[in-house]
Amino acid sequence: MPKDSINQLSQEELIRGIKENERSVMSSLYIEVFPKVKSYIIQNNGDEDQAKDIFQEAFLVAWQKVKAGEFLPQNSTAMQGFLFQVSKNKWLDWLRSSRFKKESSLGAISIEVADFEEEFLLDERLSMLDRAFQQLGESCQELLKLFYFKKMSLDKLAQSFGWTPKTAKNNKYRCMESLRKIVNS
Amino acid sequence: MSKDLHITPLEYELIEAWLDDSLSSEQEKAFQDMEKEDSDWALKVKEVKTLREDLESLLVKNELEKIHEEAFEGSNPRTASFPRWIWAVAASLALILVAWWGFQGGFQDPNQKLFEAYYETDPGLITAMSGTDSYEFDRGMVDFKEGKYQEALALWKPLLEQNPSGDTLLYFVGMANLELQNFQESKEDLQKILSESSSEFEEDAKWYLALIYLKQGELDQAKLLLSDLDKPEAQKLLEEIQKES
Repeated sequence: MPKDSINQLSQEELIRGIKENERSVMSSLYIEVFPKVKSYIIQNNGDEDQAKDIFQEAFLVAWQKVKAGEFLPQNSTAMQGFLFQVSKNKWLDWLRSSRFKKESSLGAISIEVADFEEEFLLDERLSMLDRAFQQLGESCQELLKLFYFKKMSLDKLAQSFGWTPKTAKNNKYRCMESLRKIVNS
Repeated sequence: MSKDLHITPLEYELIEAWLDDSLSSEQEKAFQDMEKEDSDWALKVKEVKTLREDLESLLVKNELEKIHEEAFEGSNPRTASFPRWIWAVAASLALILVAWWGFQGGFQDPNQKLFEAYYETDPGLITAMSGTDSYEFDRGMVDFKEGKYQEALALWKPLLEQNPSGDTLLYFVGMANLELQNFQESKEDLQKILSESSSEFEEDAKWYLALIYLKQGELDQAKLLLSDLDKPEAQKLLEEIQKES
């Protein structure tokens, strides 16, 4: 999808694209908004690496909010605005928390940083899950990616692997169980 | 995810259908029964829900990383800055290398150059995991994907003797032979696929066979096959061959 064609998507297409993790929607949204977030963060005491980390975290949050129906973008511009706003809030939170660290080290007032802790937990969980995912066999990784990320149906999955739908279902279960056990071990 | 929960396939299916809001009426009843009867049910639901959501988040995160690399790679100067003289030395070395490549290229057969420019190893198939009758084939595919072509052939050739017309097997035996530069064998394998009435590997077999003909200087045969292919690369290669000849 060319960079500006995301603006031509209807609300329905945009939301479907987000819910189904369509690469083209994800990528054009990223390419459209990241430069703006980057210049905002650089103008506000940050650097490019921080801009990338903050933006990717914000992207994940915004993406999940649309999936969960907590934010309903009317069109692509609204989605871009929302993503920018989440990034901006995250950056301000970060600045506040770093100021908090500085102040508390001088014995000043303590500020609640619950959101930050929650995100830190998610980050930790995702790193742990990533390590577990890497331990799965190549086929399991591929299967889970096709099903949970590319949103391929079990029937299509069965077709592309040359399985019966029942085998596809069993294998998906086995892969998820392996992943769950590695994470819990 | 702390308690060691045992979740059966049926329970998994039920929980996922509930999460997707796609419970059938029978499943809905089963779900309600589980809620009443299984004291761990809420924990199981939470565990599957968290695992699914986190997995999807992780995969989205990995994709974002790829998008960033593709779109903005190089825009971030994380490298240390070197003194100017190092750049001058690097530039001189690069010039020497370019000149050397040019010199080598000047003596290289143009067909060989085109073959190398267009040839890409077939990525192989996704290997099935179990419960299929093609265990040996899958093992060979794992070898193939790891670049162990000789090992793959050792597993596949006996299978091909049992089933000489299996087009998937024939195609990958052909691909392994091609990787090992057994051009004649590879050519015969691919020709056999094309002699069958229809095969899902027909297009790929034509493409690789055309590349072999090109490499061996049999340009008319290569052109014939390429003109029969729809993929843009085939048309591009055809034009380049026509320019060269």
